[in-house]
Amino acid sequence: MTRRFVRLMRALLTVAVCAIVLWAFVTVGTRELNRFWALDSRTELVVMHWSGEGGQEEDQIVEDALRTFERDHPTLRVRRINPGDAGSFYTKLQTMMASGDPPDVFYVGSERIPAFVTLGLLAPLDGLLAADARSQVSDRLDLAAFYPATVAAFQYDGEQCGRGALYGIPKDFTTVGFYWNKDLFARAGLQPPSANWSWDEFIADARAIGRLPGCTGAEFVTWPAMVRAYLMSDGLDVKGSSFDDLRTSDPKVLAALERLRSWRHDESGALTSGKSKIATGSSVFLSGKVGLAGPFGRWVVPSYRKIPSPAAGGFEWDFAPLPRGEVESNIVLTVSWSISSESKHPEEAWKLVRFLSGEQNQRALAQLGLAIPTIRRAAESESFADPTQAPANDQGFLDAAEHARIVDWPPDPQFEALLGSRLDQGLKTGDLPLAEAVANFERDWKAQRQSPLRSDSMPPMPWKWLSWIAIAFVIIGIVAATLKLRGGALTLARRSEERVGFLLASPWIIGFALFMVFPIGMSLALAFARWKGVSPLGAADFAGTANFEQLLAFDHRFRASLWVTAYYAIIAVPAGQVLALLAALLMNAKLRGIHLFRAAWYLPSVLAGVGVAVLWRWIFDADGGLLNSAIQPLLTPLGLTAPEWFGIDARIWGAPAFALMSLWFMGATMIVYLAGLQQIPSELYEAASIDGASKRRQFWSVTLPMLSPIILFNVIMALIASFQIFTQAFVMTGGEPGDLTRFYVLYLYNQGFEFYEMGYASAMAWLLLLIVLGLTVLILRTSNRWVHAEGLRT
Amino acid sequence: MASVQLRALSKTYGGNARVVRSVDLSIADGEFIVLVGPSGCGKSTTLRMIAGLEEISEGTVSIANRVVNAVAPKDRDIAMVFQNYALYPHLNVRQNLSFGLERRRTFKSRWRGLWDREYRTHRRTELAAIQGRVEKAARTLGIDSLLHRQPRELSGGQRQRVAVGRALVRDPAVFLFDEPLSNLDAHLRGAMRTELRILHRTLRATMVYVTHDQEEAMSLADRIVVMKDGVVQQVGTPAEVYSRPTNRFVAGFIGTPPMNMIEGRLAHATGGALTFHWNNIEIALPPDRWDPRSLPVVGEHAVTLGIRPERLSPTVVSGTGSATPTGRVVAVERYGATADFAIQLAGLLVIARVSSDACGAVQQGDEVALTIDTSSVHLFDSVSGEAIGLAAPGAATTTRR
Repeated sequence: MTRRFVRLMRALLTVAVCAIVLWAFVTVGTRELNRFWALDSRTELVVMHWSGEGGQEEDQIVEDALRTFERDHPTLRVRRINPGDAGSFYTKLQTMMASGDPPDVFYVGSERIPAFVTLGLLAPLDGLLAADARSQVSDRLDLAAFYPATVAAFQYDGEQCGRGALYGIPKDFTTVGFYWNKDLFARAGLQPPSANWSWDEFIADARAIGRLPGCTGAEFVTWPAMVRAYLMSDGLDVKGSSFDDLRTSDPKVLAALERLRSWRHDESGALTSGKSKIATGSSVFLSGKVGLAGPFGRWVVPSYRKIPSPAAGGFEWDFAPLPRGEVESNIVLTVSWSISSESKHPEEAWKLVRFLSGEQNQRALAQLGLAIPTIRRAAESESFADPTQAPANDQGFLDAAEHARIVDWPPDPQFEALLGSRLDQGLKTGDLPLAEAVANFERDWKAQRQSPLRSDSMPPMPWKWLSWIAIAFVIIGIVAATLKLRGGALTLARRSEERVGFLLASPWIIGFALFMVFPIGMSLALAFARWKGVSPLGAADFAGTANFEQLLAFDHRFRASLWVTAYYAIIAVPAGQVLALLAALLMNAKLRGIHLFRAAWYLPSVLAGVGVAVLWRWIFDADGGLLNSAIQPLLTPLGLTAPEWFGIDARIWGAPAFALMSLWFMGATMIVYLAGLQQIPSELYEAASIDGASKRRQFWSVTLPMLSPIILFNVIMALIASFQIFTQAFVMTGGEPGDLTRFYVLYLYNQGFEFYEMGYASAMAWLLLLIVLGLTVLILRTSNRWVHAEGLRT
Repeated sequence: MASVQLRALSKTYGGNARVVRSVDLSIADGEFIVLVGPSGCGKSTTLRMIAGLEEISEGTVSIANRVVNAVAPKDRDIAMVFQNYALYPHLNVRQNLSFGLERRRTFKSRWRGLWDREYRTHRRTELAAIQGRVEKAARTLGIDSLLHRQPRELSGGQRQRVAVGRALVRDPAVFLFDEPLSNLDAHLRGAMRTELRILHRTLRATMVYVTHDQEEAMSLADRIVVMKDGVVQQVGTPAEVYSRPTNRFVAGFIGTPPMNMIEGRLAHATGGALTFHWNNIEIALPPDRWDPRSLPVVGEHAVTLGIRPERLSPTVVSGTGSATPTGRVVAVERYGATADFAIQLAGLLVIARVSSDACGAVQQGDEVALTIDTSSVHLFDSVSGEAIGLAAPGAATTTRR
């Protein structure tokens, strides 16, 4: 009866699994086939955008616009891709470009224009605009109706923004300033910020609010663009006429930066982080304990609009533009609709861009409250300035636009990254004296400018030769394998058995060759190449050992990432092993319901990486996070404060925080130890107990030596895993502050997918392999001293 | 040296699984006692209760007249040798031997000697004493050349010596052996048995030894304790257990090949003598061997006759009609000095063991007449299995359920 039932269930399950697999193949297959065979003669355009803070609503607005466009243009069909946030968007864009199949029309942030134009990814739009003007197209764009700074942001002549060809039509923009808490201002007896308030007034207000019990004056983010906006308000900048002409050591610039640093680190209560260990980011404003937050653009408005009214326990807030220093100044942050230089239908794509950037669509997007329309008339309409909702001072954004400038960046994205991480160290965490941070920035940027990778004289990658070599290797491999297999005189039966064996294994063998061996070989080749990862492989240059030279001789961030990773490993590996072993000893107890305990301890290990990382970000939150709330009461009597893990204390506590988090995943290690413990013959413990060994002595003299082969295995596995740490840091800190949590693989990812240095990233990957291999060999070499392999036998 | 007393010792698992049932046993100082029985008879559990590795459910264990039920194994002044040797795999032979002594050191601190000169002197003397004992034990067992080796570099026999050495070096009151030779090959086992016997002679120590091998038990023991299903069946010297088994189980378990068992009935023959009847075969029993008063009802009562193989002698017969039972030889196993004959005897297979000189002519397939040495037959109650009416005063102690 039960056996028949089991057999029936097994059959049903098999059928169900087969059906699911079949269904998956059929749906995916037909989707592709339909696309291929579609009796659709319409031209297809691919549009890619992100929705980020705009969420579902932005997604829907774009979708609606595209459907309207399709209706008006019956010969065109538009396929829309939305990978989610801007980060995923750029990664996706990069892979699509590398495969030679980029979307026709897509978002580009103005900060990426120099890089994208230099890489030849964007089509210039001037010709198309001029053609529209000649043929008097009814919906043609009038650039004069746009805010000039927004248009300038997408002009680039190869050296400077604001000049040369136009590479995108700005769809919306924002100026920046501070959001201020009306209630705290009132409580501190302060006047609201005036339209042209100064930095002196700003810090006076912040200090006054900082004196209120439990309150902090202001959150001042030190993002590179915002620091430059701050400097611009004093008529200063980090650069002179070009990016070769750095002005960061200029005494005036240093003095301005020093003023900002001292607000944060020498005063208590004026600014967040620094002396007042409050986490930073736009969300601290939501707590109602921070008087001012910025410089932020318009994008925080939707989340701030969720702040309840004072009656419901919230507070009132408004916006004030960036305070003035020597001059009244502001910056423009903007996103365009751009066209790929590889688009097969540039005319049609232009029609779409024209439509999407038109006033109607700008008004639709403006209702989200996320950004300001770039067309002046739309910006000044009710679509943007909604008098029924906060902030009351919508006009402040528009007024600031009149004297706003673009924050331009060089084509090499590392400039912004280097500036960002050094400013973090000098201003945010303060773990480096400001002058040293600035000097480091200048040194690193200079090294980057003089990198052997910037040579213009690299020959193209000899792909043809490499392919021949690879083919030769494959043939030699196959021949050698065949000869080896044929070597033994096999009976007919054995041979056919073998053939069936290989046949059955072939899906795996083919998959392994295609998805493992081939990419591994490619990455090895790329380690000696300069390839941007946004163009097909044919565009790669042969760099020789330049990647490795740069890595080992010049790249300070590489060294920093290696140190951070080693620091993490030194803590995570031993701590993880000790804890897993202790847990295994507990789980080895013969108790009723021990299986439940084992399952509970193992459970965290099955949870997915990103979700857990988000969870732990809350746990480590410096201001009211679970961990700090728990340990602060213990530290207070000792006169200590809980660390701001990923803030100013990150140099010491950043990597250990991740090590602490890694203990969450020790379940698998624990299971292996548990299995090992259960293998130890009980006679050894009995002999030891008769010999007079205490429980502790038995652990040292029996358990540990007998487990030593398993300890070896676990330590090596943990070491490899610790050098691969990525997801947690990527999700939780992005490597910040500075480079203090920028682990090796995260930096590798930054190089490959943010700085477009795929060759460099490949070289890093192979160097990592060598490092881990070296450490593993080292451990194995010492292992004969402390591993008793016979422990596994009895 | 010490005596060991077990009083009503019982072991119960999970409420109702009684693996040892009320064992009473007195082991004299310096005695070599072997607990023997088939697997699952409770002999190992009994030993482990003496060692303190197994909790005692009921009854008491006393060592040197001290009840040790609540005493930790290390404080019972015992040493134990395990079947799997249980050598510490990461320690060399010297360290394995000294491990127990190291645990019992008085001057343990590594640091105190740095400033306390007296302590340092004591510590050195103590360490030298340990090494002295280790080397003496190693010499006794002939493993003094192996002291630097790791256990994995030793043969099975050498490991066993080290395991014994580890017990020896401690100079305990009682040695406990849990099937120490069963992982060795037959040849080595024989040699080690002799050595253990010699060792016991030399040390005159109390030894409790568990084995499932009755031959081993016979060759080693001063006294044998035969156990079955947690109950002691018989305690006695090897000779007693062999020649006067108290029940059918002991009779069958002790001795190789096992005793032949024949089911039949008793009858009175002329002249007051007894005869055993089975399948038309009649065996006259010598009258002086049984106490007539203890004999069960002669007639209907089922009785088993036991006869050891060496008490049977087959002779080739030409014709039939002899008074002795006859059968056919179905298999012959020759061992050189002796030979075993399997003889089909009216639906029953009996084994006869004869010296080779006496029966060189008998071949497989021969029809043979069996001569039974009736002076050494055993009678058992077929229902209870108990031995019937032994005339001689029993020296053995018997515990019944």
